[in-house]
This record gives sequence, C-alpha cells and structure tokens, in this order.
Amino acid sequence: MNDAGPNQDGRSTSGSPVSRVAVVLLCLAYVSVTAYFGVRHVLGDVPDLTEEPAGYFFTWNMFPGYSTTTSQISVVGQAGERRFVKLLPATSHRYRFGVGNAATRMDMDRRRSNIEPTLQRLLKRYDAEHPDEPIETVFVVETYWPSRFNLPDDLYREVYGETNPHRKYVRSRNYAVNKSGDVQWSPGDEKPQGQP
Amino acid sequence: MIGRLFATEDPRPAALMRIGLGAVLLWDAAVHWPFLVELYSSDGMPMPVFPGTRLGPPALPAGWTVVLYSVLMFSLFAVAVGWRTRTSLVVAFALFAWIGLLDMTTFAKYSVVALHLLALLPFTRSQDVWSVDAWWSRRPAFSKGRASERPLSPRWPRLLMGVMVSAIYLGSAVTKLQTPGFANGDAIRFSLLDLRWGGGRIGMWLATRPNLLVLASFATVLFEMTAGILLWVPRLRRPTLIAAVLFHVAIGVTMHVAIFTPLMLVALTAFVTEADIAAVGRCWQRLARRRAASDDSRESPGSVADSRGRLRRMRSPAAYVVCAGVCVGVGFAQQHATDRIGAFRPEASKPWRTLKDETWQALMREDLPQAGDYFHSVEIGSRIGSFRVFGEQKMFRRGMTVHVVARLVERRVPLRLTWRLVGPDGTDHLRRDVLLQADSPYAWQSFPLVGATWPTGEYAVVLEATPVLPGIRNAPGFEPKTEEVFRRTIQLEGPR
Repeated sequence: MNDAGPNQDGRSTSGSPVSRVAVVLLCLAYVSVTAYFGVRHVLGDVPDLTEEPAGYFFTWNMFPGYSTTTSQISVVGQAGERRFVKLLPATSHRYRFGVGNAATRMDMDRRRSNIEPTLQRLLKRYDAEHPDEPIETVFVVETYWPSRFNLPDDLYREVYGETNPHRKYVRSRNYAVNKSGDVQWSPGDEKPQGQP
Repeated sequence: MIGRLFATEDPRPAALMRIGLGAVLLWDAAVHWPFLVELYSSDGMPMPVFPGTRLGPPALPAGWTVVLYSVLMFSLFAVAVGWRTRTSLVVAFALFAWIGLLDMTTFAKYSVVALHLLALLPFTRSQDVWSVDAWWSRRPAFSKGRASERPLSPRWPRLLMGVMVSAIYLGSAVTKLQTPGFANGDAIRFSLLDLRWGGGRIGMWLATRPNLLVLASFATVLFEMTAGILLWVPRLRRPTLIAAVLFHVAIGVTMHVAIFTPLMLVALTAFVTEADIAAVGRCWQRLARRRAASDDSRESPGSVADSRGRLRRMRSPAAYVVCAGVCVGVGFAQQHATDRIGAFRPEASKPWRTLKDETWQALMREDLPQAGDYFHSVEIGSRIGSFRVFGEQKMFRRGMTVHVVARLVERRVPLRLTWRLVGPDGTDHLRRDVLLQADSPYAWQSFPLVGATWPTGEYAVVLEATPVLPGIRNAPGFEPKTEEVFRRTIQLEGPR
C-alpha cells in the first residue's frame, strides 16, 4: 500500500493501494469510456447488446420506451388429443414481481430468447416422465389487454365513467415437436415473439 | 485538476456509502433468497442477461448456486459492518456480477450502479470508520470531535462515482428527449400503467391526471439535465442533493422499481462531504439534547480492551472464512429443507399442471378486441395543442370549434373512424369518415360550430370505429363490427 505518511495536521494519509500513475490512468479510462458511450447515446447509437454487451454497463438509457398494451406469455404443450399441459411458467416457477406481484419472469423476456432452452429442458423432462404420451405440439399463447384496465376499479370508474371490464384477449401460435423433442420453430421466427 | 485526484478526505462519507450499499444489496439478496434456485441455477430456469456472449456466466447446479449465493450474502453483510472490508467488497463484486448476470428479471441498470460502486469502494478507506475493522484496529472510530485522529481516504474513487451519477442523470435526460410521447406525458402515463414496474396507488392516480403528467415530464427532464452538473457546483451541491433525494423518493413511491431508489440514494453519497455529516450530527445532537461526548469517555478503556481481547481470535482470516462457512451451511440446509422446485429432492418437485378443457378452450379462443379497446382515451375541448385538448368541454357558443382527440393503443389493426356531430333533432350536422392506419397513435377531429341556422341546444359528439381486417372476408366470427366508442353531449349556446 502506498502510505504517504502524516500530513501537515499530523493525520495519517494512508494512500490508495495503487500508484499515482495507475490512478491517473484508471480515472482517464473510466471517464473516457463513460464519455464515449455517452456521446453514442446522444447520437442515438445504442450498443447492440449481443455484439457489445459491455456497453450496457456505461449506457444509461433507462426506460427507453413504453407500451400501451399489457401482455403475458405462457406456453402450453399438447400431449395426445385432449391433454394440455402448462409448460411455462412452470408450476415450480414461483417468482413474481411488479404491480400486485402479477408479472412473471416470462414478461421480462421481450426477445423471448430464453424460452427455447428452457422449453427444451422441460420437454425432455416431461417426455422422460411420460414416454407413452410425449408432447407433440407446443402453443405459445399471448394474453393481452389495454393497459388502462390495470387501473384500480375506482379510478377507472372516475376516468371512464363505467366499471372496469378487465377484458383480456388471446392470440397463439403453435409449433410441432419432432421425435427428438426439438420444437420446430417456423422459418423466419428467431424465437417466439412477444411485444416489440 | 490532477492535484484534485490525489487529494484526501475524511473517510466518513465513503463509510456511509459502504454501509448503505451493503445494507441495500443484502436486503435485495434476502428478498430473492427463496427463489434463488429457480432464478440462478441450472436446475431452475436461468434467463441470462447476455446469452451467448462473453458476459454470459455459467449457471451451476442448485447446490453450488446456494453456496455462492450464501457467500454473496455473507460478504454483503461484511461490507455493511466493515469486516475485512476490501476482501468483502471484492468478493461481493465478483459474486454479484456472476449471479446477477444469470437472470434478466433481477438484473437491471440499478445492478450496474451497484457494480460500479462495489468496484470503486475498495480504493477508498471506508473501512477506517464505523466498521468492525476500525474497532479492532483500536481506532477511535465513533468518537466525536476526533476528526484529527481519523485517517484520510483518497478522494479520486468518489470523484469517479460522481462522474457516474452525473452520467446517469444526463443519460436519462437524453433517453427521455429521444422518446416519442415523452413531452406530452404519454411515456410516464403508460410506464405507470405497466404491469412490471407500474405504479402503486399513487402512481395509478397520477396516470389519470394528464396535466400533472406533462408537468412531471418536463420537471423530470429539467432536473436530470441540470442535476448532473449542479452537483459539482459547491454552492448548489446541497440544494441539488436534497432535490435529488426527493426526486428518487418520488419515483420509489409512484413506481415498482425494486431497489433503484435506495441504490441511487446510496450513489448520491458520492457528493456528501464531511461537512454535511458533521452538520447532520449537530442537528441530531440538538434534537436529542445530548451533549457532545466521545465514545472513549462513555466506554472505559478497560471494558473496550476486555471485549477486544475476548474477540481477538475473530480478527484472523480463518474466523472470517469459518463464519462464511457457517452461513453457507445454514443457507444450504434451509434451501434443502424448503426445496421449492425439487432440485435437491425430486420427490419435492411440483406435478405438471394439466389444463381443464374449458381453460384450454378459453386460451385458444382468439377473439378480436372490441373496437373500443383500441382506444386509451378520447377527450373533448375548445382548444387543441400537443395532441391534447383544453378549455371548454360542455358549453360552446356559435363560432367556437369543438376539438376531439383520441389516444389509441399500438399493435392494432387499421380502423375506419366516423366522426359525427349530432344535432338536437338527431340528424348529423357534420360527419367525417377517416381511415386510421395501424401505426397512428392519435386521431383527432375538429368541428367548427359555424352553422348560422344550427339551433341552440344539446348536441352529441360521436365517434364510431370499425376494424379493417384485410385478407379476412366473410369468415364466421371475424366480421368487423362498427362500434360506438365515444359519445359526449355538449350545449350549443347563441353568440354573446
């Protein structure tokens, strides 16, 4: 440790564990990187996180957008003709957050990039437990509704003059599962897409 | 400028940050403790923040994940109390990064703030006051009026933290300026209505107040544009700090943003000085009506020496490791006993949930939204600006204009809109048909009340909408229906 010894008041000036040159270089590097990504942010050039994940740590672009509809994703598997099993969120996936603890982890995965590996794991586990009736079709179900229905009922009535209907709508896409247990995502689908 | 980098300062502000950071992160870790196997282990459902990149750490089996998480919690506790502080900070940084990057749900920008602070704090002397390390080193860690005896801490780490805070504010302001719909309050409104980070009761109430939303939007941008700079101006530092505290408390009260608010309050201590702490101390003494006394005067040297002597063995690295091991053991036992997802005992795993027929049929029924559900709001007024209406809403005179603005949701089909002004006799005095494209967030219409022969009385402003469904013709259940989505009565009076 670089101990500078007592100062004029007699107080110990125990120094930093790094040399002065290292301090200058470290500060220059930190400020430069912060400024670099800051300028890019101003210009609208936000780092692509798949190519420049380190940019996430120096680009301060919180809440870059919003959505006027609320949606939630679930995945259902069909085994046999009339047996439908809820795959995601799984019964063991109990973490919830957000307003009223209603949001699931699936709702944070906008690019749905984590659905596929998790789904593959669940399909293999299910097929191992039910070899006579494996899952043959997977349905990605999106439940959506206007965000204004998230208002408490009394506020909704005050603003819109009617009872909050709490209506929800559904859209789904289905994908076949081959004998190896791999989901046949449609050509052109990177992953099941949720909200843009 | 270079000289400022090598300046030294009292370590108490850095210690304050250390205690706050350790406490906040420890609390956050405790909140996620029941779900750690689900969130962070390969036996659960890890959702990496950067999958397939160099910043994608490996997810370990449940047992090892519990070990690492327990060590993380222990190190955060040690950071908060200042026990082997530098070691604890380094360990906390490494584990917080590794575990955090395994789950995009619990890792956000506030986690990045925490990582910056964890990375820079080891370069300070935050362990020299208000810490177990200081107590063991026989330093007068808690004494008042003994500033001359406290060792000094390098200033440059906190300068860099200040740079980070300024970058956060300026970056946030830039983001808002680049967001369409921020200036008219839409960004805040729909963020408050969001299921994931939306408002509590207060936030939801704010979402229904358009004027407040616009004012809040401008106030937010104004604050963020200026705070990052004013915090560096000595005369304005304290008022700006107070404003920043109020700003973040307001965010925390109105939205669900996890530990963002307390973490930013911790980060703001980068601008807290020894003079601020001394001032708070004096206020506290006045409030508590206590006389200033040093800790040494309250505690006899003999008793302090006795307690330090008894705990001498705890100073050794082995004691630190043993305590960490105890935490791991307790944590592992607790997770094994609860085993929420059956990672340790397969018999504890939950059975598959089979959907009932009616549930499945409800999920598969693809109803088109009612036309009215494509509209977030429809408002009426005598003046229009920035996609909002103002002024009269009920009483109009001949010569005025009735403006109607509709805010629609995105991700919808095109709509055929029919705007009507219906007179007291029930006939349409004005009618306009418009095709609204799917990407238009607003629709508006103006009805000039200029008809000299129009009778005074009650008129109705009506908006009807018909979804346009290209490619679907005569399919059962998909016939587009015209729906009245808005009707408001107004009174037309004669000219003054």
